[in-house]
Amino acid sequence: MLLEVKNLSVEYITREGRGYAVENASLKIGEGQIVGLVGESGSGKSTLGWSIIRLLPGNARIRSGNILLKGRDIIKMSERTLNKTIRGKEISVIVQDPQNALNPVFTIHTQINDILSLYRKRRGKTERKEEAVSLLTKVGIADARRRIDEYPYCFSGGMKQRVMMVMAFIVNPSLLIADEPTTGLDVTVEAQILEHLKDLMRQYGTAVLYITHDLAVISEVADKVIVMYAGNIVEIANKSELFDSPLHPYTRALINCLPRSTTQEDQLETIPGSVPNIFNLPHGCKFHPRCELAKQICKEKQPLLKRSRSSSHKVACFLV
Amino acid sequence: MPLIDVTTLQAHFEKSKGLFSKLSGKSMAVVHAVDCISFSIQKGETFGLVGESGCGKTTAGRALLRLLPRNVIRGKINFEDRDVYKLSTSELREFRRHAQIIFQNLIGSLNPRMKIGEIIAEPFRIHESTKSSREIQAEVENLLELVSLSKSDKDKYPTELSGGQGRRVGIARALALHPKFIVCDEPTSGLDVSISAEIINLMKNLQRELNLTYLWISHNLRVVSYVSNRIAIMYLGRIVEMGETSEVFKNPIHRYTKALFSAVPTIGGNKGAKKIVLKGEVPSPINIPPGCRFRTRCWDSEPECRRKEPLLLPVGREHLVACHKAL
Repeated sequence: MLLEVKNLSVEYITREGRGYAVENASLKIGEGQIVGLVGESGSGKSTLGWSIIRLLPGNARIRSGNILLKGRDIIKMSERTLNKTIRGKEISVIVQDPQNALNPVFTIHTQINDILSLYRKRRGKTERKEEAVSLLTKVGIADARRRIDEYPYCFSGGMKQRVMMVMAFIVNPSLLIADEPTTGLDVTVEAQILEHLKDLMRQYGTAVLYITHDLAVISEVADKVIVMYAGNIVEIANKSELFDSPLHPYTRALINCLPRSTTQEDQLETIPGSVPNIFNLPHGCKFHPRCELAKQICKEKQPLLKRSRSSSHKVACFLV
Repeated sequence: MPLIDVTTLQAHFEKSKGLFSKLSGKSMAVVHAVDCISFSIQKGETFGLVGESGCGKTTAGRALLRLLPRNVIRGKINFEDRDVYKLSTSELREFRRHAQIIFQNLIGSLNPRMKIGEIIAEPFRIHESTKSSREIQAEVENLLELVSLSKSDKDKYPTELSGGQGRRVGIARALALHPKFIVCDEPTSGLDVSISAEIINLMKNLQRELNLTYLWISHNLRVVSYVSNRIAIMYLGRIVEMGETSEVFKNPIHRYTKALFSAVPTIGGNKGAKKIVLKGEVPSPINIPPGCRFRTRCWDSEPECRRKEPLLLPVGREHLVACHKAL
């Protein structure tokens, strides 16, 4: 197992109070696997993702749990060891907004070269540039030899994301955390990015934790899917299991919210109510106030993630 | 008679260049945002305008409401048989009541210093100034109810609202003066799926109750296919395909439409079909390639495509395509 997160809880401390953004989350990612992490805004999916490299905002505290990467516990590491051996070595990140992730006053070449000069120390300057150009070409940037000397503002959103991907893969990481990498991009650009992402993964043998709110994207890229709601993992399953037979009422509702056909007669399904504030979470199952099937027990006790149907399909619901 | 009739609409913007090129007298760069598009919208229907960022769909929507200066516009836009760019001041005032917009950046379109109640009351203060405050208050409360917001929300400020509530305020404001036509510019973008579904249901119900006509602008094909009766697909300022939604989705003909549809991620669907992944980038609207605009990314182009720009021609009942290889 490449990564194993056990009973992770992350608390935010703010003026409004304290609240758990991630509660008792456990998950596993195997080598070369793509794991999709889905949930609505405020579900804690990004907090969970970013706690894996311990890049959380200053008011976040990891309260309990272990994060084992190849057996070593990331939570127990010092900042120094983290920087030396984990961040940008074992684990790379690509973010939603490549606009802000690239420095506007340096050329694309300078920024890629910054990384190459750290990881390919023995190579000469021209050799490094050749590598940068070939990497950019590989992710579909036309005329890369000329464009590499341009500044980020000359690149479109999709092209910037490709530059980010190249930079993330240069270090040959064993895990890539992709936080909404295609949100806000057009579908054709999204398709390009996903294609290149899959190519690079195959080539480098990298595992990916793909964080998104878009179930449809997940259904196309992921091997395994994790659904989060209000800080809790409510369902984990292989892709086909999850989409063919979703078990948690929340997962089912999410899938049904998507407009599917051109039949216009029926109403789209919605989920009544809204995602609860983490400073004021309901008792029992976090989803019960919005769940049509909720029973008395759902209000009193919190369901744990349990195996059902098959060993790979886990769900946290009393009614399954 | 269609409610809206657009004939050869063009919107070109001059892009100011740097000082040096101005001094040396070089010609201005012209952004061809919308290039010669024609379509009409029937009363009570939802017309979907889709395309990727930069294709000109928002510009087209704004032109329809006369929200762009006259000097960038060529062509004709008729609203109930009258050219919107030729209306007199009083006619324009009347037109503004009937044609409304729900802005793409909704929170940005709400004044942060005004309470929700004031924002929704503003159309009345401008257009129905004879109304007393009490009458206006009653109208505001009705509107809040219509979009399923609570009466207490009128004392809130825009920053206190969630994304979905913000959209509802925008919808309430657009509906205030009983318009006939609403341009909905990406009304669900950036919302979670469950919230987006609520907004779509609300807008469809309102359309039925109030007999509204929508121009629905979106890059989200799933949403557009669900809400609209007819759609037009735009690429680089041109309409490349147009027709009844079900027909276009069942039988897309333009290569761009095919690529666009196949790129939409779907749950469980598209299993057999291979995804068409387009190569390269959309060309700049300043230097539009001659001939067919999509030719630079088309996998099926022929010498003819370089020579001649294809016209939007019918291929079936109410199904038009601008491609040399359509037939």
